[in-house]
Amino acid sequence: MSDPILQFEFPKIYSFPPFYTQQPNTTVLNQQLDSWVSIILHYCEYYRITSLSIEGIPKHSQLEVPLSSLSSIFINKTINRQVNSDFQKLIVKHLIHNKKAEFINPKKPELGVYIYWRSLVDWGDLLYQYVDDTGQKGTVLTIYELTKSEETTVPQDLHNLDETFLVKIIKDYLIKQGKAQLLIDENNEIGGVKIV
Amino acid sequence: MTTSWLNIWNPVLINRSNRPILQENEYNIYIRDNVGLYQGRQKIINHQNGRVYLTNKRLIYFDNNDSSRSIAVELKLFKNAELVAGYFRRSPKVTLYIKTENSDTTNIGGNDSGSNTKNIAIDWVCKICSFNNHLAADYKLNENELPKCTSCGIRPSKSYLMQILDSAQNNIPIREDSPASMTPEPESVSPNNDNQCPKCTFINHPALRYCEICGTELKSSNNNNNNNNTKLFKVTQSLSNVSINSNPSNLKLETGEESYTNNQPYIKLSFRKGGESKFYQEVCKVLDDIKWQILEEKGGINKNAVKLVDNSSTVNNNNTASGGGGGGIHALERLGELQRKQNEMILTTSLDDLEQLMFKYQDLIKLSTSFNKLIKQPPSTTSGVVIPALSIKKSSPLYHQELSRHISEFSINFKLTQKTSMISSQDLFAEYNRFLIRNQGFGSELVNCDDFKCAIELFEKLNLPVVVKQYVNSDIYVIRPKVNANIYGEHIVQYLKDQEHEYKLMTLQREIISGDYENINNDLYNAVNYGKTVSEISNKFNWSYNITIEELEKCVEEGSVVIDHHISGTFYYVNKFSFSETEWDDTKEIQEMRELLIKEQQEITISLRNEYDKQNMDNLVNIDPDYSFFGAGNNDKEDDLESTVTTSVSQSQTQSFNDLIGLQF
Repeated sequence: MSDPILQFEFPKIYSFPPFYTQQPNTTVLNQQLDSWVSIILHYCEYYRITSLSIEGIPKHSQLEVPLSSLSSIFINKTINRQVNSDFQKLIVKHLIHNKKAEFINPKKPELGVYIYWRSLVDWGDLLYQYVDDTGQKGTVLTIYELTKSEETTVPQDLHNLDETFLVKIIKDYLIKQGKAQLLIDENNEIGGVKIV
Repeated sequence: MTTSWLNIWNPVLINRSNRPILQENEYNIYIRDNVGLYQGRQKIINHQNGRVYLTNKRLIYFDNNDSSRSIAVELKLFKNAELVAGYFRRSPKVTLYIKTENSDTTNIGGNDSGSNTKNIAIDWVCKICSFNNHLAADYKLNENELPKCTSCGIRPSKSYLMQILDSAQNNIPIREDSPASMTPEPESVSPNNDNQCPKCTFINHPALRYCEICGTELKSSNNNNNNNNTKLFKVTQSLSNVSINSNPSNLKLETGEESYTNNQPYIKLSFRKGGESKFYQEVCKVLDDIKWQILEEKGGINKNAVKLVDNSSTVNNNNTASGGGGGGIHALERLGELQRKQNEMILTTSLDDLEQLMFKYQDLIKLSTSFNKLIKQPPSTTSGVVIPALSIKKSSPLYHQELSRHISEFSINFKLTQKTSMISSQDLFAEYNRFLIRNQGFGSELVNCDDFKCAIELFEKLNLPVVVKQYVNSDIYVIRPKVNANIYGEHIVQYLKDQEHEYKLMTLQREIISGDYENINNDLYNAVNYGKTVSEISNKFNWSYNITIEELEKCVEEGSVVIDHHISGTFYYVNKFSFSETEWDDTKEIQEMRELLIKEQQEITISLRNEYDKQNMDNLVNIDPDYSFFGAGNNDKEDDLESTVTTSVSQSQTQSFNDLIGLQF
């Protein structure tokens, strides 16, 4: 991207110190969790982060931004406040409950979660539209071709998409819809995708 | 010739009321009437109708017919008593046996001469020490051993004893033959021979039977058959009767002669109308007492007393020794018992001492209360509010009600002075008791917990202006005014909002002065400065910590306050999680605050300039004209400021700072 990256502007509630403490009141706690979910989704959408660790550290981004510069979303150094681990887990649980996130590997929760600031259905429709528009239906395409290609025909939204995330989109949505097939090679790895 | 025992009777002194006069230490024991006297078997004539007085010393017969016939006898002369029952016409009698120390002499007197021969005591004189020894009458030389001298212990020779025995046997016929053969010569010699001692040749009195010097038996008692001697004996007999066997009372017997059963002298008392058994018992008792007294005089009882004393002293020594030694189980038990008794003594005495102390204390309290009237009351710090003392007794049923009203009055005037005041029951209890001490002195009675609890529970019943409220979580009872119920949460929220507003105002003020615009958003929300802790809220509302915590928990439950846990503490904030986006946007508020601050700065600037002009006006007399010209330039700038007041905020800021620069102090 040639445009300079601007810093994400957090809402004013992000500077409210009680925001980082789990509130004992149930009603207030629900409001607090909803606010956290909103902030996380906007933050990930802004930086196009598709996966996030449990501690709130970005794991993958479609932008060519050094991820080391982005610290945990749960730490606010300006007001010297941070969320403790119990509350972090509660926030992640709330994200999953609202279907805005999902564990990368359900058997290993510590690996992190996928953040669905755009749902799988939308991602799948986007991919299918691209293949249909370019007239490549029925042909075999590679994963690299779909994500890392230098061709200008790949739309901006699909560029630099995480490979594991792309496979998840194809498996969980397109194959169930009967719109795609995966080709497995001798090494038991995915060799290509055929969009029908 | 036998001895008469009538000499035991003595005359009696009689007073005018016809009663016997008693001797010293003498008292009556028994008195009986219709009593007759007997001497042995014979009646005593004219002594058969009278009274008998038995005292502790004498037996007194008082004749009813003639008081001059009254006689008495010492009881110590008798050895025992005997009761004889009545039989048909014979009246019952009490027999008193007389002590007879000379009974052997009497027997000797009554026996024949042959018996005298048998009973003769043979004397032999020791040739070494010339002591007069006695031999038994039946001593036989051939059978028995030779006797020893009782003085020097040497035995005499057999030949000497044979001579003595032969002379003793031959004396009698020699004396019998000599009077018959030589009639005129024995008559001249015989008196001397009879009185003269055969051993020591001492001439004794004819009445004596034993030698006065050496104790040898005289021969006068053995010569009864001699006529001449008989005459002398009769004279001797009459003389002895006059001197020894006299009858001082001139008593006469019925038959004229005394006769005693079994040859034992006795007297009898005939009780013709009863009373013999009682008299007998008393007589026996008195005789026993007399014997006991005789023993005491001899010293037998004293010996026993000394022995008993010795025994008791030895027993005491044994006890002390065993106690001191502490050996054995019994000694240990004894020590334990002594310790227990000592403990009991100490406890009882201590309890008594405590009781005495309590009485003293009550007296002191009364004194101090009486003195309180004399002491001037110091002027109280609170002016105008005077609560009269609670003058009612605790035993009264109205005590708790009056106490409740008193506490309520105290609370309203001194403690619950603010709108949001509250006080815990413990604090009120302490403050109220301090108030009592301060006002009524140390002698007043303080309120105890039970009475205090009863009193505060009556607040609602008596419709007083204070109410008791309980916080369930911390189990605290709180007293607060009734009017301001359930509005503490609002006060807390308002307080937190005010604090936040003040913080923002100070931040903007600092920003305007320093001219730094970049960090406004970050600094404005550096929250450590405007969150409030429990202690700060407690100080604000004058509550105790527990009350503040309770109220904050209520606010959190209502959702009006939120918590911020931090390493530096727990802070409370107004709840903003429910704020909408427009509510979070406080730009208008900031704009208004900036305008206020700018106006303040302008006012400050104007006031400073006016002061500067005044100084210049005062100094115009001495300053150059150029300086006056500079002052005129300032006036022109002032006009410019007035025209730019209606412009935008940024321009006004620039103008204000330029104006400050232009002052050039």
